[in-house]
Amino acid sequence: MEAIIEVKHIHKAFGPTVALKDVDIKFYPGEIRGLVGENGSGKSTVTSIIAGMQEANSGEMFYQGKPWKPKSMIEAQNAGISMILQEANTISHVTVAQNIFAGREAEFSKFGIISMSKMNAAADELLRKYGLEHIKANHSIDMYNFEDRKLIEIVRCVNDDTKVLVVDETTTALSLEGREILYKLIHKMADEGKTVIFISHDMEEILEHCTVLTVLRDGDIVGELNGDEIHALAAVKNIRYLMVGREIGEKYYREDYDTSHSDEVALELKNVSFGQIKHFNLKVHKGEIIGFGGLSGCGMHDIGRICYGIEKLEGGRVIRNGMEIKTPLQAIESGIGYISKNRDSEALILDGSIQDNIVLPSLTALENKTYISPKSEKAMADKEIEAFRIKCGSGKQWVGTLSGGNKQKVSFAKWTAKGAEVIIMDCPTRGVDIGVKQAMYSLIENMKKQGKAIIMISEELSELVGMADKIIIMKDFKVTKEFERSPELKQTDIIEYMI
Amino acid sequence: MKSGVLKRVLAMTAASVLSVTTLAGCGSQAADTEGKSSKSSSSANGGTILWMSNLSSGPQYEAMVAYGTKICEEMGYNLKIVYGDGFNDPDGNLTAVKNGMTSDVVGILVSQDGGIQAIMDEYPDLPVAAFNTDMNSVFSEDANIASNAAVKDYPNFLGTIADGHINGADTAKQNFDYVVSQGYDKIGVVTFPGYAYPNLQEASDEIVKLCKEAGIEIVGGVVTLEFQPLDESYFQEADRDDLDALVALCAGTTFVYPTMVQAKGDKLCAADTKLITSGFDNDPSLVEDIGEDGTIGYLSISPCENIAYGLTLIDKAVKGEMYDDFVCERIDSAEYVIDSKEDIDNVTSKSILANNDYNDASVKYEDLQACNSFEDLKALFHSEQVMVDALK
Amino acid sequence: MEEIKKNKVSEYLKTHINDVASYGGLIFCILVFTIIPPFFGENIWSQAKLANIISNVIVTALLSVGAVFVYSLGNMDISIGAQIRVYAMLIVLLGNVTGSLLPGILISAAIAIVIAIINGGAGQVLKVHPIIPSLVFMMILQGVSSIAYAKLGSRNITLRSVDFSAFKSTGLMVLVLVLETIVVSYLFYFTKFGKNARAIGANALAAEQCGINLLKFKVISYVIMGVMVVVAAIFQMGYTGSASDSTGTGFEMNVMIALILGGMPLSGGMRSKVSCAVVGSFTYSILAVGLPLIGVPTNMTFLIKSIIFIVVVLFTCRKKNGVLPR
Repeated sequence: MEAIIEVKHIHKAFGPTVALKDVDIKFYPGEIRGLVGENGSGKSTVTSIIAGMQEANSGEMFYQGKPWKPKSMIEAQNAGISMILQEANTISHVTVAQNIFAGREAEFSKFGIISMSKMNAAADELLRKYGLEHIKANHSIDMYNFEDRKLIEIVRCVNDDTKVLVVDETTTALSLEGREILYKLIHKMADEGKTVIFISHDMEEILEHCTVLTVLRDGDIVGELNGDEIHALAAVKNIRYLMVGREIGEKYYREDYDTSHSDEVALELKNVSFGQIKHFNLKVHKGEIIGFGGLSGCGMHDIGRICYGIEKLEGGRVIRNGMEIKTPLQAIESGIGYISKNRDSEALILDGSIQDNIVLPSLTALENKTYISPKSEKAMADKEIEAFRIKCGSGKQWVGTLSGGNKQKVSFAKWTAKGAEVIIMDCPTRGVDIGVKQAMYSLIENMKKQGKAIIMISEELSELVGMADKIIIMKDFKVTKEFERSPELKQTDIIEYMI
Repeated sequence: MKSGVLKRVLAMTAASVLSVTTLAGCGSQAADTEGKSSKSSSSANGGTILWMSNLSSGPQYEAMVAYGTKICEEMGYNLKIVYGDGFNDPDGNLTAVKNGMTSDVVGILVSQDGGIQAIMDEYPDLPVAAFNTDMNSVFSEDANIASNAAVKDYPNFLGTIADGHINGADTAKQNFDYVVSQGYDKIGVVTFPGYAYPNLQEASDEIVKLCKEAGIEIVGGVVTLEFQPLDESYFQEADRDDLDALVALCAGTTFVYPTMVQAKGDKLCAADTKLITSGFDNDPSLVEDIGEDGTIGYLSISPCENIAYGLTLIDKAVKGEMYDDFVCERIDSAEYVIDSKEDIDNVTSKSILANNDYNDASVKYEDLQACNSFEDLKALFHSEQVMVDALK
Repeated sequence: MEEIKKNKVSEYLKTHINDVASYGGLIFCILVFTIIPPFFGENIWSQAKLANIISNVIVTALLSVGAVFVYSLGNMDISIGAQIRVYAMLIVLLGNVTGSLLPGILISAAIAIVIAIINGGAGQVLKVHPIIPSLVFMMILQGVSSIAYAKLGSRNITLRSVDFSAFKSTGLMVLVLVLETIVVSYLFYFTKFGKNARAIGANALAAEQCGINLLKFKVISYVIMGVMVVVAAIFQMGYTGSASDSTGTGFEMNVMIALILGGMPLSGGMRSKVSCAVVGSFTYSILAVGLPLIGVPTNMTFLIKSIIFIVVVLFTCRKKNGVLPR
């Protein structure tokens, strides 16, 4: 069979960092190709070059047998190569239909006037085709949440002329239902002889849906797995080995089942009401890991923000060491740290250096009669960079240039540098690859041993089961069930309390 | 990445093309007015006279530049122009002069009075003369106006020739006399604010007094324009729809005339209401509208040749040949009085305002040379030869 | 080996393109105006011209350096010009009444601080764009000054009994500018005030979650600028010992132009630098002083300035290049 896309000797560097080293890869019609690799391994770089988001430094590409050198994503999309990104990519303040047909208004216009009703009708039909009846074409896109917008984006990207679809870590943003819609779509496309390139950190979904798997490491292709190999028992271990380049060992999550912790209460929520959350009570002890699980809109993320004093409560109190926490500043001063799930927009200053980010909450501590010495800043940052093994040239490097995992390490480092005793982590391993995940888990385990109190909010049940002393499951802003840590606890037991 | 570089190169190219074309375009335009000075720079070895202008465009400006450049050339200087602050701000004027200052400047001609003491403090060795400004706020200490040292006390100050009259009362008289001569008895008066132009305040006070004595009605009293054009509603208020004449003490051709034409079109203002004002504009429709049958019945302008008065004094001071009878004083300007079709036709065909031609100037370099005393010079700028009638 | 060296140089140039463009602009101007004027028999390094440059640059530079804090927040204040106008008027008026400049300066400083607190606070408390309160103050102050001058019956007022010649001294100008730059640099780089202001400008949400009190540090930033505006007003007044109803016209724009010329990102954030203010205002002033020296007519200088401005902006405009996707 002839390859639909052939990539030959592609080389791409960002400054001193080499993202792709002389990569050769062929994509065939009818396959669902999984690309896996750690953050910074080059999987997103290679697809973004194919889809016209950026250009390679050298090398050549062929699409349907002809040389392929797209100048923009629009050019690629018109030629049949569409890409769905991790970030939101919809246009705010206009209707769903206008989003779906952005750039194609001419199809609905006569003498320069666009027929909105025609456009809406066409959009509604498309949405129905994808099983998205709950989205209405004439509504403003602002009415929909991130997940629905992602789905709208998929509808926009994919049409009858699409021959290659790149799905780049889109599923992290989607709920189970949304994922099902996407899975159905990619299988349908593969059945029609089209090509799907699928990038994800979720090993389970990769294994379940991909027909071929390519593993990248440090800008190189290090392995390819076909049908049987994917479904082999040792596949996961095998892939992880390829990705990381070394045995990462069996140890991944915590291995002990010791749920003992100090009796001292580190943080307490008393009768808290906020929005749809009513009369919520919680006690977190020193040395305890409390996990919150549930669907994305169940209110668990609000609990994290409440604990940190970001939200103005309608009732109740957040108490630490007998003091009420009302603002993030009070929270920080009393030794609480918070890692937002919106890493790029809330947790980090992407334009700032690693050092700037790490020392930011600790400036008061570094102050000596208003003077903050650059030396003390550097010492603090370098210590954390060392401890977290943040991959960077120096502390002066901009955080925006780091890979997802390293960014997340920086947001952890802020709070260890500050010496926080209570750490609230919202989706701590979102978009982070296995190697970093493993490091994070052992770090969290260490924190527990040091007597820190941890609130871990996560959409990944496996990590809650693997790490938490107590798992609190929420649904519709209420606690539906609490689980104690135990070897017998299975994800399937939990899921029913979530949906 | 490569395309990024390409874009940057393209952007740079675009910017340089843009700059070259604008420079070339403006350069050729500027050559009309200022090219002469650079051309003559080799022949002129007497240095440069810096003129801080209050204008930067318009027929009077063009004529002054052409004429002034030629006179300077005859005297052996370059004329270099800097633009005074648009609001006559002292700091702005000083900065304009300082930025334009080069080592070959031998004298300064100013057409605005703001900050002139600061300029003379900065350059005590350069003779400074003024024209087109009455220096009312700074000339002497007697006025109530807050100012410091009187300009006339500076040894290097050579006096000024005003744009019109030094005293507002004389301006009022001039306009009033014309009103009486035409037998008008129902007029309107508009002016600029007194804080900006103290002598216009004087003028409007005087015209009110004169009209009261003569029984001429100023309908609705004197109206002050805050540097905004007259509003059409002016004619709708207080029975102003059938004035005999409207006296604009301020620059009426710019601030009153357009509104009046509009109002006449809208039937808000009687068709035979005349405008009495000063200033000049070579807009053909305005020029057409001057004279017995037009809207503008009476137009007075100061001759552009006045620039030569200041230049002559600077020349004398620089060469150390100052007139024996010289005293630093402020003098009135002669007036081009245009009140007929014939007058305006003559101005637009035979005066220097017509096509900036030195040969049309009413005062030539030889005339200046012929002056043997300060009295001669003053007389020259008030002689018959600078009047409109000389154009006949 | 050579290759690596070359790469390093081009890497450095790439990451410091802003610095290169803004410093480059200044260096280019200095070179051009050092080399060319001698052919016209002029010299920009003459004492008179240097003094001219300093007196040209002083007010804009003082203002721009003071405004670094506010610009690093990603905000701007367009009431600066009107503030200068009113402060200069107060200093002259009270100077003539009391025979000392101090009362006017103190009252101006008090007003400046009140305005700063409202300007900095209103944006945060009322959730309006921070330019709105400054727009309001611009109009209020313009109104105040035009009424005052109408009452005074003159368009400008001059100091009579107070000796202000000290403020014309080039040495004092340089000294004050250096001092102000040192103080602002210290606050900006070595204290919480600057670090927090930049963090707020870069990402207000992240800053807030790091425990930074947005209101407090925004107000502090505006107060720092307010004080510097008064310092600039003293020199503006001292230039001719006078104040007029058009003093300060367009100064807010001059500040913006100077900062952009110096490479300051208008969105503020971590890449804001104090040097932007100094470099930018000197570039601007050297152009104003240098162009007439090489025979460029005054009415052309605006065009040439705008072209230099475009070129610098083209170089400094930030692109998304060089950022690793994930």
